[in-house]
Amino acid sequence: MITLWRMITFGVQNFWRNIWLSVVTVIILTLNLFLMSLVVGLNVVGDQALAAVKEKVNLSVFFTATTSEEQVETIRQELLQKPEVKSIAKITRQQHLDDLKKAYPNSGLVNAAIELLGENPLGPGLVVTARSFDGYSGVVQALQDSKYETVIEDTGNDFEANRDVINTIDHTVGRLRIAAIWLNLFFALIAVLMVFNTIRVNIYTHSDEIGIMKLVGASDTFVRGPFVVTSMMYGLLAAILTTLIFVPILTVTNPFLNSFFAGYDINILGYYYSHVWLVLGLEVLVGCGLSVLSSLFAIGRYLRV
Amino acid sequence: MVTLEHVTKIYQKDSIGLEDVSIEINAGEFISIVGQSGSGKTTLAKLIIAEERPDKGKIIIGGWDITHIKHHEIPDLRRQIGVVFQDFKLLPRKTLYENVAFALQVSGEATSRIATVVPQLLKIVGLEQKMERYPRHVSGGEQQRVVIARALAHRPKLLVADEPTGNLDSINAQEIISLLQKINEFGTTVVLVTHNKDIVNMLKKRVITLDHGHVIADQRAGKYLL
Repeated sequence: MITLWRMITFGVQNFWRNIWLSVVTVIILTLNLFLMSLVVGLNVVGDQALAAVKEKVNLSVFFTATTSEEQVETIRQELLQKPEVKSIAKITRQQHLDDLKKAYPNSGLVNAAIELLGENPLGPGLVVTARSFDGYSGVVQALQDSKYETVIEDTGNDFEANRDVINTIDHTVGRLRIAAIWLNLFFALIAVLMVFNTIRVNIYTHSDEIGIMKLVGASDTFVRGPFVVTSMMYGLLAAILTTLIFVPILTVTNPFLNSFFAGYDINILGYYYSHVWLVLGLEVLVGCGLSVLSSLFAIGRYLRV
Repeated sequence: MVTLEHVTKIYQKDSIGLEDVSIEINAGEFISIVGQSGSGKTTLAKLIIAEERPDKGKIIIGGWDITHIKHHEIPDLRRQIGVVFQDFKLLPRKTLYENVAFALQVSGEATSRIATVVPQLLKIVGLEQKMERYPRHVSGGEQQRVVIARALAHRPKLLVADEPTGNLDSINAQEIISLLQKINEFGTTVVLVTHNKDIVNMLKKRVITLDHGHVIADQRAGKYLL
């Protein structure tokens, strides 16, 4: 216990008595942690954006003007039986007309056509929301059944077009995710090399001391211990500094990100705050892990005294 | 106390450290190992503290055969032997007090005992007033005295001093030798590795002369031969 306490004390002493070396090591570790956090953050933004786009998708089905409310309700109930369907909202004929007018507020052509016909030419509709994006295919297939052929005006051809767009986004995000994984690995490799070399130089400046400690009877553990403690301090401080840099940057960029994703339920800052302990924990783990492993590896050669 | 039986240490094919050296050092002796540069004096000191391993032969320290000492046993051996180096080997980022205390801390000595023993040791070497200074803030002679204080921390039965006066002027050198003599008078076996002719001749103690890795003379109350 007393030995452990001494190793901790020496580790803290090492940190302060080599303050400039400590500052440089912490800055380099912070830089690497920041880069890694940024890449992971961009991954999260991509995933959230795609999830928000998928969440926005629904399938609108419009019926002929002669379809009765009862027929619409029957079809609605049939569709609700399908496990992939989450909810179905009804659109009345009047609502349909209002929506059209709202969509084209200054179009005299629409108003003229309605006046010419003398009555509302639009039928009622249903807005289907599936539990998952893939569930829409099943709904479209069900609506293509011949029993609905006479009443359905529009069987969701738009959905097929939208699905192609979403699939393209999905594929692009997928490819981006693979690229991000490689980028992460690349950054991780650079980070490991940078941190390892910084700590190696740090340990090298202590190589004579390590030899002296060994010559006066210190065990390998007693020599390693303080360096492990100092390395943990580097990792911990770097993680805290990364967070202190990341939060203001995220706060400043959040309005731009929000306006970029206007209309979608995306809040990067909110997401960050709700995961802040996980992020900080991971940064501490990566920061401490990298520096401790580097120092243990670098110190080995000087222990052979 | 120290027994070397037919010890050979070869660094490279044509670089012989020691060859077939047999020495018996008795408890309480003050022995000088002399010889020119490259004669094997430092190799002998390094073999005693297990900084080097012999290629042949046997080394026994206080009844402990350290010929094939395991890596994890080396700290135990070094805590039983006091070592004084020519280049002091003080920890530069620790104060004089902390340097002496470190030798006790590595073996898990209680903090209260360290707080009592370290000032006493520094008083013995005349540095009790400078214990909070760093090594760079004291002279070479004072640094060497700190090294002696550190070497005495475990009350060793054997003290190996490898060229302890090599970096000192004659006055400081004399002070260090007087200190070593005093330590020897209290019963500690002292092995002094040196090439300082005046010191060896003044001591009038046992002298082992090495040349090219061989023992060429072993005198009971000897003089510097080369």
